[in-house]
Amino acid sequence: MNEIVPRNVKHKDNRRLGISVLSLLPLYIFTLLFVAGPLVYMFILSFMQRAEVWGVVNEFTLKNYAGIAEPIYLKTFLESFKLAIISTLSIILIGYPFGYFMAKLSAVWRKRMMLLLMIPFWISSLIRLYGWIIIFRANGVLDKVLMGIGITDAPLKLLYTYPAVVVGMVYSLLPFMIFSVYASAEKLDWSIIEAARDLGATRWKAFLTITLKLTLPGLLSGVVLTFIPSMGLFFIADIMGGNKVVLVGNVIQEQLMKAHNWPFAAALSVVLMILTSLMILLYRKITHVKDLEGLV
Amino acid sequence: MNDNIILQLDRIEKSFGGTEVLRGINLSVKQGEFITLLGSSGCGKTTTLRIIAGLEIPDGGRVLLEGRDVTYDEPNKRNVNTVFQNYALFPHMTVEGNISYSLKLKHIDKTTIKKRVDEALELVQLSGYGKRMPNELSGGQRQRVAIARAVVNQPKVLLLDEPLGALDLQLRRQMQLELKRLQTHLGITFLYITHDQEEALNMSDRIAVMRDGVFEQVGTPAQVYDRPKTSYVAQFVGSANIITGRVISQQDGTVTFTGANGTGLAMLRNEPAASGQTIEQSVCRQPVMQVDSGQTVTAAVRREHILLMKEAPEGTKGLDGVIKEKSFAGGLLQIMVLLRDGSELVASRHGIDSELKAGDRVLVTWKPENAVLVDMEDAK
Repeated sequence: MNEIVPRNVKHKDNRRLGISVLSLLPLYIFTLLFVAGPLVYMFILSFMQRAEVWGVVNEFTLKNYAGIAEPIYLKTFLESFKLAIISTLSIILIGYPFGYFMAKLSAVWRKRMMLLLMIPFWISSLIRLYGWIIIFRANGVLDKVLMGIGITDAPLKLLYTYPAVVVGMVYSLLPFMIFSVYASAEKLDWSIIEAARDLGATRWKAFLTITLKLTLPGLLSGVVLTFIPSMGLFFIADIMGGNKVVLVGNVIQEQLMKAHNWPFAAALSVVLMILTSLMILLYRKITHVKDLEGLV
Repeated sequence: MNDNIILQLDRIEKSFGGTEVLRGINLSVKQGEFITLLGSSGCGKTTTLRIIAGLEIPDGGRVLLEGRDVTYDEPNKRNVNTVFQNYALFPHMTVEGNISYSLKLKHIDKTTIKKRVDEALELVQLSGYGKRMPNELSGGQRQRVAIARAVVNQPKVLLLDEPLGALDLQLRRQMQLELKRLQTHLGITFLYITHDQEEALNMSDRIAVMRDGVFEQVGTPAQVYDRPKTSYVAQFVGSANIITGRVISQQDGTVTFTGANGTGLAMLRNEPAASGQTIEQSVCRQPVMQVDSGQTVTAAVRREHILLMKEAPEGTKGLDGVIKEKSFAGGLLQIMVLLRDGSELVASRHGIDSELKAGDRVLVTWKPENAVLVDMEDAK
């Protein structure tokens, strides 16, 4: 639209751009070294052979990728996807309304809620998960309460079950969904929803056609922020699921730390990354959202 | 006449957090009327509109639409549409999508929707803009889309909340004419909100001047402008001078009174408003008011009617004053006069300067018929 830019203005902008690029250079170098670097390294590693005792041999092979095709690993991938979908859906169901209504609160209460959501982050997520063990274990807090008020008469044995893993995932990742939905909902012009109501939409219809559409970028980035980690957060599956629930993350960790098969672990990681990227691409296609709130 | 009433407000009351915003307002709007709520910000005019639209529930009173009580009906259950102050267009929909929104909700068939959207676009002179997104339009164009979106549904009453507030002066003038044309063409009742008295006088069939949650006066532009009932209306609508004094005598409908400190004599005409105002005789009739000698009265005299005489003929009744300063504003020369009792008033003149200089002693007078009695208890 603004094709006509006076020459001197353009000049000035160029100079400013130069300065900003320079000042951002350390950031780019850091990203290159510590984000892009390891990714490239991992990618190369996945095509190498495992050494007899320790490390890798510089020899090209596709053996690692062929290994993933074995039923046991395919099943793990499938299981991980299933858990990630269940967790993400639960997180949407809780996190979306939470973030949405938080944006409707008064400024004072918004700040208070924000603080309440932030405080748990000051404690390691591992330690917070141990809290769930105390609640869920046989004759733990939950059992005692339920038996105390007479809803159940025997311990539920919730710990080391599939639902326990889902609870752990939802608990750990929920804030990410809340924050990204909140960021989207906070920018909503509420008079637009009033306009929809004024034009004949019921509350529900106005929500579907206006509110949901306009907060979709936030919801979507929340999905990205929760779906990907829930495939790989192996320690949650470990702590909450014992060894009953095995995720791709657990396999990768095992291959890397216990079996010392680095190339295979790398190959698993690459496949995981490709699959999740495909998922997001697909999701973006379906929802037609191009800009993710706070992401991309 | 009663079956002509399309919208009725019956003792509407509303408070927000202990602050009374509306204190029992009554209003009857006739089918096809262009009525304006005029008042400064915070007077309760937007709250009134939101109550009619159903976006706010009043604490007391009733809203009747075509004789039906809709006070507690949801906004989507009322045949009333709103043009919002900030337009409130749906940013994720095209112009067409915005305009057809209400029609799609009614499950009207596609060809009819298309036809009506095209008609609405033509009505606001935006044919061919259907595929644009709201953020690709100028302020004036967005304004038109908001109007098209609101009228496409053929509402009984169209509510407009300062719709021209964000436009520049020239565009505002043009849109005033267009809105009036549109209203005449569609025959829809318009309830218009503004704080701009010029806009109100220009477009309205009737004006309701609002202040602190009550209507100070409801009447035709001519009534509100020429026969203000209260000093607030006189000042807000006509930026008139307010002069108080004590009644000395009354003869043939002309009241003579002194300035507040007995600093001279002034006159006003106490008689019914001029005839010839056929619209709503009942509202416009201002009865001859009961005035007693010695009573304190308030008169409103508009700036252009103030006469300043350096050398007055013997026996001319008027107030003594001194020219304080002159300034050029609003296309007129404004002369500020300090009266002997310390109050100030302003006279306006055409032209850029006058022979009168600051410090000149003058006699301030006006023709009796140009002074209007205001703030009378029985005027209500």
